[in-house]
Amino acid sequence: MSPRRKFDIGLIFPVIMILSLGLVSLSSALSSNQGRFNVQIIWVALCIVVFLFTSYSDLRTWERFSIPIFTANIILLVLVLIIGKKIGGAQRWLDLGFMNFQISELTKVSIILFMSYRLNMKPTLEDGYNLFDLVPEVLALLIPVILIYFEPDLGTAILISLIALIMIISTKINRRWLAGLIIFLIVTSPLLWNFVMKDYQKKRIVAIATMMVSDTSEFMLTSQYHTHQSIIAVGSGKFYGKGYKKGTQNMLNFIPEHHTDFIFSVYAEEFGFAGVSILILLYLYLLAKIISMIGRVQDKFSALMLVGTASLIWLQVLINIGMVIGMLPVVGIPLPFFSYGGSSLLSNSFLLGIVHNISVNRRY
Amino acid sequence: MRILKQSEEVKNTTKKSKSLLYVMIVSFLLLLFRLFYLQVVKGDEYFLKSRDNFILQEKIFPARGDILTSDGKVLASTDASFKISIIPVFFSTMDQIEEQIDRISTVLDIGHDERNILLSKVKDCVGRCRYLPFLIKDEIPRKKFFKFSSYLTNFPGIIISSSYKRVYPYGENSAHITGYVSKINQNELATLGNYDPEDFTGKTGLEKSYEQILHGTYGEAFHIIDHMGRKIEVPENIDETVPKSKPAQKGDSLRTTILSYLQETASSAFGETSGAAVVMEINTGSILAMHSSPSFNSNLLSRKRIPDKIWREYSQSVLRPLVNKVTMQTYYPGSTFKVVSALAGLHYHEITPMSTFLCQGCLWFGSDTKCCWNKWGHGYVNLKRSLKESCDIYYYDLSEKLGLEKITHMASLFGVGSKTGIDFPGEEAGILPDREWFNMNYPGMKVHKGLLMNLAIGQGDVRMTPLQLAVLYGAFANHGVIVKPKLGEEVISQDGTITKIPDEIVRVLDINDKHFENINKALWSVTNELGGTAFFHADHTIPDAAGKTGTSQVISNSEKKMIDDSEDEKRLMTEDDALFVAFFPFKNPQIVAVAVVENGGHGGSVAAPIVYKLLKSYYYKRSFKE
Repeated sequence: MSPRRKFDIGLIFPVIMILSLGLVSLSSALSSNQGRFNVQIIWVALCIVVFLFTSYSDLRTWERFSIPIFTANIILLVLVLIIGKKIGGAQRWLDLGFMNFQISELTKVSIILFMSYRLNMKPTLEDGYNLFDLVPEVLALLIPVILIYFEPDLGTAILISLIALIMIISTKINRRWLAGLIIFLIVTSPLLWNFVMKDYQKKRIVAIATMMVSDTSEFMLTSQYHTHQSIIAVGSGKFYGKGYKKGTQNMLNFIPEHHTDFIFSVYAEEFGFAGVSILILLYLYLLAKIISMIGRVQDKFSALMLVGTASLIWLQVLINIGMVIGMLPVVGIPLPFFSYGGSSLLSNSFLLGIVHNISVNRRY
Repeated sequence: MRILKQSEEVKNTTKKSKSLLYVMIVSFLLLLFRLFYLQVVKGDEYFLKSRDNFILQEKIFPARGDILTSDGKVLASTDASFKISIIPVFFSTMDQIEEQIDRISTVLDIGHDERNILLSKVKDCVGRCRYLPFLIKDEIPRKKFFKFSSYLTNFPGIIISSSYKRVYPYGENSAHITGYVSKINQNELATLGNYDPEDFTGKTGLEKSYEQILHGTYGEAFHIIDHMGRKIEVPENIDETVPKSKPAQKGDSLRTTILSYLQETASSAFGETSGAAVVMEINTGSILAMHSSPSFNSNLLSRKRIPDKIWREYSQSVLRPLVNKVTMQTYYPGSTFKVVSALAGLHYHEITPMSTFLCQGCLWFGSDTKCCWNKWGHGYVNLKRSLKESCDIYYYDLSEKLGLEKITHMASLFGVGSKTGIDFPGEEAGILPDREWFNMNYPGMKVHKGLLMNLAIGQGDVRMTPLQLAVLYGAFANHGVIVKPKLGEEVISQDGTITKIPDEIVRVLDINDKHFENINKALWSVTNELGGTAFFHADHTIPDAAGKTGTSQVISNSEKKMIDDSEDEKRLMTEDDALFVAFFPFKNPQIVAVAVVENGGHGGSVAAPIVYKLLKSYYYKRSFKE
């Protein structure tokens, strides 16, 4: 029994560091667009408020509200498909007047809440969940996944499916069913390739695949061009980086989306392998910190919230950096606490607030 | 089966999440490995690639050196023009490139073929070459460029740079001296080395022979460009390793030996008449004027693509305006060759100045008849009269005494049949029909009298360029010094250093001065004594000149008779070529002038007035100075 703390500095420190590095990179990427950078500062301020609010609110309330939030989120996702704002070919944003809110960011939160709530409510037998036990959850889950898929935003659709999957696996599951599921996934993936995936998505995957095995530098397809340029940016940073605001790929706009999904390449170009290692270690430290908390909580809801949040942060980092350095296809997944954008920052801060809430309020 | 307690569930999740953390660590290690590979192992390579992205290296073409006359007039210089290029790497599809080029072609007329050639070139380009500019259009005149510059600079992936256009202020007057420049061809690209495939090279004339001096050195510019290929100002030392630009260095200028007024006199004296004239300084070999008529407009030809119409007009004309008739066209020297035969006679002691031959108008030998131009006959003719009145029989008889070798040997000493070595491209050597030549061209045939007689009067097979004739008469005037003619006087480098191009002497003949004096006196009488073939055509208001007429048959008399009366044009083309050579002033010879009027008829009446115009022009401008 440790005494109740007001503040878990060990949890907050890596996030503040990541946020600061993110702001430094953004100020470089947005050096010709000071206005946008200022907007991001406002977002950071707002997120601190959100973080503090969730940190010191009653966790039970959120637990109780998880179904309404999930339902509201689905309604919003439908709305997005109808009246959403189209940016770059995808309809992912709701125009709220003062900002364009990306509803799928909210979904990341609501799915973690929903899954934690449902799995907490559902008693587990000694040999674990039978998959039939989870049919309602999986069906409910499919609604936002499919809606997001049609935006189209395959990346986020896969991301939230994976998070839900990890959360399910982190509970006790019948071994035979698990093995069956894995076999099922292996069998269905060719069907996914042939009937579900769009041409441009396949193209990206092929592009990445070919790049992994050959070092060809002829990139005519747009997706390849983006990846190509961002790999050049990352690689050209060498060990110590080119220095703040001296990244030519960044400053001369060779990196596409360089303040949003590709911000990591700006950072990597200007701060090199040294900076990159520090950032990745910070993320790892944060993740280790969150996961280490799981052993000390007493309720399943909190444990699952922690697992969900950790896997969300982990997968976003993995997918984002992976795509920037050409290991994964280009999808619209931001780097948590680092990329430009209010929606992502809000959802991540909310979840971090929950984690912090658990850290300071739950009795160990 | 019992239901798990909360604490058991949490414990279970804790255990699972431990494994999850290991997966996370492993996945981040994978990222770090890849990052290490990109940034540390391959870092230098990618660094260079990132530089390729934003540093646009552009070759700056140098301005070509000027060509000047000896008296400081500009024969060739350069004018600013602009060129526009496209960089393929900034376009993701061929369609975009095509669209861009079409957009540009709305303001700058780009031909359909030109466009397609460009597009196929871009299509073929892969790898590094996509980062390099492709020329869309050059020679955009300054005026036109400024009219559209604001529109053109708005295009992404487009780069505009300045270039030069060659201009010849005197156009046709000096075209045969300067020649012209045009786009480099494959051959030159291989031999000249280090030339840009879009560059121009001298194709004829001094532009060609002094190419290396006039060309200049390329410069290099390093532009910083953004992702759209637009040149931008460098944001505060973004990369200290960007190389410094190096300006192009203008080529050295060439001062020629040409005197502008003399050159103008030469070209105006000819007008549309086909022919050639050359004035040379006797002691230095400096060419003071050189004109070939009709001429061409070098400004029209100095383009990347010469319009077909102009090219056809020039290249198909029977008057051959593109041929420099001074150095590239050979003529029968006709009677002007007689001095060589005469000198051989004196030198080999076959005759003395007082020896005479009897001219009865015609000479009968065997079944053949050879006549003098004067069918009435000259009677007894000595050396002086043989030249003054240009008696043919005298030389027929002399040739019999001399035989082939002595005449051809003497002629070869004066450079007949070999190039003069002038600093000018495409020179013809002419023909000296010596024993070797006959053996090669008429194997097994005996060189009979008739051929020998023809040679002695400059007919038959001997052919010379007007320039060779000038060198020959120059050598008579200075008693046997064969000079190497030259057009380059000095090279003026851009820093002002002047390098003289030295005069050269090919050889000095070991021939008695007396013989030259005797012949030169006879040449004086041609123009200054009543009865001389050029007496009535000479200008007696200037100091005396000594000269020789030549009226050379283009085809033999028997052939001439076969041409139908109706074929007027053909008849015109087969008229005799008129020649006149003179050195001046007789007392202290300074220059030698040659004029050839193609199909002009009698040398004295047609060619001599041209030569006298040149002598007069030279006299009035020069003599007062000296």
